[in-house]
Amino acid sequence: MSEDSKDERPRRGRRRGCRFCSEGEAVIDYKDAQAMRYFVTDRGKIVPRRNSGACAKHQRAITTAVKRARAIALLPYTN
Amino acid sequence: MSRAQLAPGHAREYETIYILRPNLDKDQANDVATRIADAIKGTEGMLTEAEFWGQRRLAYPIERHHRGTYVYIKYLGRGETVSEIERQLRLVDTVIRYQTVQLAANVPLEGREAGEDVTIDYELEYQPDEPELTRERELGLDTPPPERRRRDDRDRDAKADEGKDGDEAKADASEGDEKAEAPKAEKAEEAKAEETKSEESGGES
Ligand SMILES: [Zn+2]
Repeated sequence: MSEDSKDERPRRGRRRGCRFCSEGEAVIDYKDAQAMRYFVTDRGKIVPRRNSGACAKHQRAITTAVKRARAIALLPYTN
Repeated sequence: MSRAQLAPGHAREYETIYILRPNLDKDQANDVATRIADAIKGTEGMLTEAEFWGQRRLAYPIERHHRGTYVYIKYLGRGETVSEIERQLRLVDTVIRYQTVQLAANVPLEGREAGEDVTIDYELEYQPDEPELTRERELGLDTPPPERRRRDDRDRDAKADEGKDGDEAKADASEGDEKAEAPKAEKAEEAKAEETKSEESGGES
């Protein structure tokens, strides 16, 4: 059971839950070029879930949004 | 999800962003707007929003252009509305990219007024070389060349004095032309846009 207490300890410097699930905080809009930059690395790749902290549902939303933003030249395919 | 199930008196809601070649004159930009308006009307759709985003830097060059003029429209309609709009956008070589996203699958039309007041108005908002609405601009990261600005301001004042004399507008349009004109649109680009679209329109509700 020492495993459990270990799991509950907040990870250093990381949010616990998915920040998109806590409503009203952050919306994922492919049209917001500035905001979309946070979802890609400096090489233009989609930030993986372990780094974005998004739940599966919202990671999917991020992926869709990044692809849409790329298609309309608001985000680069590569950097 | 499915395209077939659309209840009577209902429509789907879509948004389309299209990118015009930079430095078009008003007539060229308005031609596209007219085509879209006609496509929507002709398919019994309804334009509900139109935003002129202005010139922005493209994240990658398209048909050799590094900047493009973004226009956003939102409308109600069925599949035919989208295909007719996109057919028109493909017909003109002034549009270098477009993308349609379905926003809602089943919107009741009852009580929605035909948006006669919603128009894609380049006359008011078209300003060559002045990316008025970009974030960069808001944040002061994208300062336009000062001489240009002054000239535009002068033109605008002149136009205000002139009233509705059309000749003046044509004169400065040719002045603003850029030297490099991309040759014919590569079909590969269109195919890509098309691919995205069909991917999207299947999608969400
Ligand atoms: Zn979430």
